[in-house]
Amino acid sequence: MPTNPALLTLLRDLPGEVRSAAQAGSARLEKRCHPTGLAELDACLGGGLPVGRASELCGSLSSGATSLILRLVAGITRDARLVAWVEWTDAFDPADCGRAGAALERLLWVRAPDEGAAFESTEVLLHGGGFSLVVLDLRSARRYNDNAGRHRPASVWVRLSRAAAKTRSTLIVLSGATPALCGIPAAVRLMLQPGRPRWSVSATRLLEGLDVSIHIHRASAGFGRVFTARFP
Amino acid sequence: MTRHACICIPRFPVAALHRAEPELRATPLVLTAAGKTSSPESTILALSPEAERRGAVAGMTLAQALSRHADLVVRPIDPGVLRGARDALFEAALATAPRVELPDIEEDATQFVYLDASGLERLVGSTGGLAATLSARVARVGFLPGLGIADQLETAQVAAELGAQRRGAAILVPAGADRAWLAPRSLTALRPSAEVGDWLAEVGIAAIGQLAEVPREEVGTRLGRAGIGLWLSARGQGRRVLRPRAVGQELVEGIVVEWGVKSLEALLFILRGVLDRLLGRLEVRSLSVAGLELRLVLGGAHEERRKVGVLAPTRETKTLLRLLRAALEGAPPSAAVESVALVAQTGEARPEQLDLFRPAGPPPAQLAEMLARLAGICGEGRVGRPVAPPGHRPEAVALAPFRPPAAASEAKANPDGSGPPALRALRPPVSLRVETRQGHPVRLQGTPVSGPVRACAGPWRIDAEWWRAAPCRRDYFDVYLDDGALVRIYRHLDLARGTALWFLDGIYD
Repeated sequence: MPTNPALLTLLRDLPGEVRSAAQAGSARLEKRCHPTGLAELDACLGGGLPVGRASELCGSLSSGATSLILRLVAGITRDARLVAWVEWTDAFDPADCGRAGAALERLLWVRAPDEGAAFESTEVLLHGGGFSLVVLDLRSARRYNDNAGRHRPASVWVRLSRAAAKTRSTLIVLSGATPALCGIPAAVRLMLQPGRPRWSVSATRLLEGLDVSIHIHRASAGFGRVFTARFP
Repeated sequence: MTRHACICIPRFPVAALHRAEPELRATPLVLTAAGKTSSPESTILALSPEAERRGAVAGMTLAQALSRHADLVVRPIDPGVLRGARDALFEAALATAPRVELPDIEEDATQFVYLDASGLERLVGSTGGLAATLSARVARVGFLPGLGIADQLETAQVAAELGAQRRGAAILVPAGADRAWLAPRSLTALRPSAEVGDWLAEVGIAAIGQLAEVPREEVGTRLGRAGIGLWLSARGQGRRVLRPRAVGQELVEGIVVEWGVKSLEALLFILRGVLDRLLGRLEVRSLSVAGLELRLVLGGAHEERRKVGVLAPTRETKTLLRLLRAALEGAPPSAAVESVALVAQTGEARPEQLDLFRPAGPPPAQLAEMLARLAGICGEGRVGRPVAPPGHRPEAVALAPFRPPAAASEAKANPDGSGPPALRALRPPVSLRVETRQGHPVRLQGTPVSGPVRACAGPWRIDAEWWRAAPCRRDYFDVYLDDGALVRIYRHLDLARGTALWFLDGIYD
């Protein structure tokens, strides 16, 4: 707390215009993050997933990872920024993405014919820049809980991570129960546990949503908090 | 003041082949009539200066020329190469002047191009600047031009021929000085007809200035209309007017392969050269490739045409080669390739007004380039923005060209947060064996999900396309399995056959 009477007078007269350096720093930090749309998770992550870094969402199927990413995609595309979704298993559902609130005209969908083409496409997108978010979906729907990317050498991830840092694009890898990123630490790794469905209690039973638990693992701070999220 | 420019390319068929095959530049090259092979009786139509120095002359048979020098390089004239070269020359001129005439090749194999250069000096600063710009553009498409700029077309032509003799020089005739500049030159420079030229030589008129001094009536009486035309040209008052050629939107470059090509790598090597020439032409016009068609002539003169998808206009050789490779790898030619041609649809890089308050996306040209590369990697129809396809089947998806709008999006956040979690689709749906009790599933058996059902919701029916022979009539269920998987399945009802088959539609995630 300042003791200088002149400064105290100034702070009293201009409460909105004068902020501490710590506050200004946190504002800048928020600008360098993509909020996930889950307030509690964003608070834990310091604003969201970091821009220009590689992050990973791990979890077996029905763990809510796709729902979480769709929230992120919706927020970014509504903000008039571009998102690319790269996959080779053809599991992306544009209708769900639209329902989540995404502006589909700002979403580039890359349906790679194989895993190699998916990685190559991701590299082209990250090197080219201009896409705020590039999602690389490595989960195989046909082989439950399997994860294609874990067989890739570490050099691939290092290259992708450097390209993301250079062009300020954020790379999010959607992987199975086993983490795929190796060689570099993911800036944020969210481990999602299979969730429990929520059903409506009306006469006609309907699936209302999914409650999942998320374990936060940050490169800088190691294992973090665990909490429950509700989708949608 | 009307000003004209003229480009002169002597030995044009040879220059065209040098453009397509630069490795032939220093060789004693002779060209025979178009055809697959040359015979000893074939007549030499054009030849390089190196071949001329070794004793070959245009008009002699190939056997005669080879008897004088055995190491002549013999090639039949390739109409595709010649056409591409003429178009390239025309486009280079058109990039400089709005009105351009491309006449037929002269009998002595010289190709002229005439341009209306009136007022162009103001665009580039000076007549010298205009000459430098024009020379650079013609050089970019693979030629060393002789260039002439003068008031009348005929003077510009004489100056251009002189420039070509001086190995690609530009001769600039000052405005209003055509007659004085022409006066000391030989009369043959105006290319009079054989009859008129012989008569003038007989009476001792050898220089253009001498003809200009003869009274008009005397020339008219003896030489008629042709003589008057020549006399006016000699005085710098030529009546020839420019006949501009229309601009086409399609660019064609091709080459006949000497030996049938079977391997993909060899074919791509040839295509690279063709593509380089095509892109050089586009560069001088500041255009890009918006669409590409590959034409292959296979053994037996059978022609194959393949469309190569270009997502956005680009001028990147690497990207287009990648697309060509993808098009050829998907369906290799069924026989040896004897001739290739690329037909490009031209387009401009997409202009866009950026928004001060909008986050910067990729520049349009860069985005176009990136999309073209992605299409090359993934194949045609696999990159784009998702759109709702026509029809009513829930699993149908389609892609449209990715053109992000400049304005901010009007998409709204999911207002009430209702609806199930995201679904990971299975395309095509996976067949399942399902045990039911009172119409509800109690156990699933299949891949990738299997096991007893812990809870389920449904059914809800979709009855779409009932007017078709195979309507889409399905009962959907949301199923929660013992192992934690939350999936969507459906029972497909085939009323015609009286069957009901179960499918796994997707997995909630």
